[in-house]
Amino acid sequence: MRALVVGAGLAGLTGALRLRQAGLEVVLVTFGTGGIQLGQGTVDVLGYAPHRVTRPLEELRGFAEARPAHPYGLIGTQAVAESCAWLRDQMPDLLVGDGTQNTLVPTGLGSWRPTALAQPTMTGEQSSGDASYLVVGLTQLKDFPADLVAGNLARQPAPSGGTASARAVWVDVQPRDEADSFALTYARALERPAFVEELAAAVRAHARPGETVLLPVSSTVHGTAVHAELQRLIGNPVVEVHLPPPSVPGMRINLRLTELVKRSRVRMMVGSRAVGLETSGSRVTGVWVGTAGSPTLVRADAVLHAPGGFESGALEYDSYGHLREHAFNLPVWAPDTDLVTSDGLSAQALFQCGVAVGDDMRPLDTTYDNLHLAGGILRGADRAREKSGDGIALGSMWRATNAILKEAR
Amino acid sequence: MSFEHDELTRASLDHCVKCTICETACPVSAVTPLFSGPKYVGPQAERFRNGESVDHSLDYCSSCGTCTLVCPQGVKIAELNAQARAVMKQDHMPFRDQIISRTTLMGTAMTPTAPLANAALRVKPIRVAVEKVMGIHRNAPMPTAHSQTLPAWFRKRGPRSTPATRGPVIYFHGCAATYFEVETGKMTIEVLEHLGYEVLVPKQGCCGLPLQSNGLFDAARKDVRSLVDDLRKAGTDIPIVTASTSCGGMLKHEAREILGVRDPELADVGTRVRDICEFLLAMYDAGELDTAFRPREVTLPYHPPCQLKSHGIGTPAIELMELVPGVTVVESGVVCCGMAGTYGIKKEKYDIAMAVGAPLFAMVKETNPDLAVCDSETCRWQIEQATGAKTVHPIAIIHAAYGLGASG
Repeated sequence: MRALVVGAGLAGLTGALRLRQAGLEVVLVTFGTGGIQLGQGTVDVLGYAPHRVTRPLEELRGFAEARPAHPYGLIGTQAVAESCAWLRDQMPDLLVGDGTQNTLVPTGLGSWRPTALAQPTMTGEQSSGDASYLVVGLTQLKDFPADLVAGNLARQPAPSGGTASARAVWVDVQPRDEADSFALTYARALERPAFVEELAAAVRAHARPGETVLLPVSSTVHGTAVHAELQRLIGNPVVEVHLPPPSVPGMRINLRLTELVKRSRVRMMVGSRAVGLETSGSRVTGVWVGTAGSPTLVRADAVLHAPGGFESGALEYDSYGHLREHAFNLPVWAPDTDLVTSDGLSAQALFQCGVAVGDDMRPLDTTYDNLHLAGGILRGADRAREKSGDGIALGSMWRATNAILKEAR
Repeated sequence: MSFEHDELTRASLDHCVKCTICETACPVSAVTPLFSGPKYVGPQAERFRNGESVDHSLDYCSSCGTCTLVCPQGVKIAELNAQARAVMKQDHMPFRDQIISRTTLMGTAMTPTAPLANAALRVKPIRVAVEKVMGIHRNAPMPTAHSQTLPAWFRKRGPRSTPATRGPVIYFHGCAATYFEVETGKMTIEVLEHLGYEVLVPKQGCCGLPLQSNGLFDAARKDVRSLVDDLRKAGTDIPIVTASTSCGGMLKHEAREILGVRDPELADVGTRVRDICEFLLAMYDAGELDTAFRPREVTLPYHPPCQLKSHGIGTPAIELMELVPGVTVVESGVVCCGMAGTYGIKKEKYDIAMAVGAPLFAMVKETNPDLAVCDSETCRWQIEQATGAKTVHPIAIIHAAYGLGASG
């Protein structure tokens, strides 16, 4: 049996891997690189409801019951818990946690962000007492405003509940001869042991006993081993702070997941859009893919459509107020209110738009037996405000692939 | 020269949301601070160009096309850069670029004197002189000329020995197979014939890709139009198969997207072109491929070239080669070999090209220092020169597995 997966974001890559591990032939089609490397490299299940959430799996059901259109109502707590554990087990050196308790990780603005599964580079935070932070700015890295970060950290309690003090220092260790490097340039430089030592020495010169060192890059894109080495050389706990794209921790997850997918021999077609469905009655028999020169019909017995939402161009909202699902023209649901308001800081209903599905993730109001959706294309969630996007991606992927695997048997 | 006429490519720059994905994938900006990266010199700088470039670091772009390939928003970054660079170079085109972009010229000159030409290109003082006069780096890999071209071999060989059980296919061999890698061409023809096809090999010229990548757009358009006529003479409803993946890409999309050629004749050809591995894997999917392969216990480092990836068909060679029992393929995991057509032989680009390819060379040496596989000819020459590993087109693995032996 062959499944075709559209999308190389979190839902698409994990869905392809899971189906392949179950023995199906899998073809994955993606237009460009997926969004994991633009994100924080963590797994957000539920961060704000709107109060800050501490135990996401416990609060999931109540949260969904209060929001009838929310995908968590269809996905359910068990699918979220199982899928998060499954993902963590595919890369145990990259993810820790299980969704029982949110971890607070520091951001590039100096705030604390709740997340369910984090990278071990981000969890060096102590669990009790007062905290003091040494925020290390890197002079060629403009994306990390160390003074702002330190200032904001000092205005809030530490995650342990105790008081926080923080100070910023700047170190000048050039990853290469240029005035303006992004985080990835540092991550690449950390592949050289000499640079690891240079950075460690520069930080150690400033670090005082008892301080937790906050660094904007602390390991390579391949894994977290360099972080452990840096920490050993500096002699203080080190916590990695994720930055806006290019996100080094995001790239770690993306690279690892892509490697796993390719090594399992999922057939990956990068660079082409899914442009249409081939059907026979109510069954999808294939997907038209916009390959160079002429479109290719890829035969499929089941389709997992995980193309993302507005940010990836999978959903469109034009200046005439028309909503469209780009690939297959699936019906797009919108809440019955103004989609965009002029108050940029408040929630925008636009982000709730998406395709409505049943609990096997098949779109409602269509007649396709074997088309399943997952991830950002689903209606009813404001993923950025709720900090729920990764849990929705994984949980819906789990439900959808369960349904596909059931049919395979 | 200006490209306002190609507004579609230019308009795509507004799709850019500055996500940085292209910058993280660019193999050139990863190894040198001299190149600011595709986002800078592509959609960003295009807003400041009214024909002319303000940022000459654009010249370091190797046109590998990875940026366009990975862009989730559909910005035609590589195409924008190619067009802007052509404008930038038009008033001071190096003589070297006029020569190295004319593969048929080089082939025609080297074929009659092949042994002498090949030997000369290995003599160090000659290479040093060539570097000083022409700007071709003394250590850059040079193609090996043969005494007999592929078309000459095909003509002399005569018709196939077994009757055709399938229809005809047109073989687009490309300049490399014509003059320099005749073996690859022979193997492709023999595999297609083994599968029952009648292989038609019309007289054909250059696709114009080296001219295009050096910014000689008028000459490139002339060549590609001529090639389109050549291929259409052999038939207009038959598949066109090529083992020259970069030239196939030229016909499929680059001639339209970079040169702005909108002829219906090009569209007719472009829609029928298939890369040989794409073609064979499609046969396998349809249950039509002969899978009686001789087992061969080997681990093959495989590098998918940039110009194969840009077809958007994935990497069919991996699955194809692993149909041979005992073959394990290890994908390189490296974006680009550095050669990027003619980029890597240029004196001022050579070091960058070698830095771009360094992780690939290391991977090959570690995985199988004797044998490597890659779909694109100039990439093969780059890999072979840098690693010493014999580097072949995937068709060679299939050819051997069918027991087709050394070609006649």
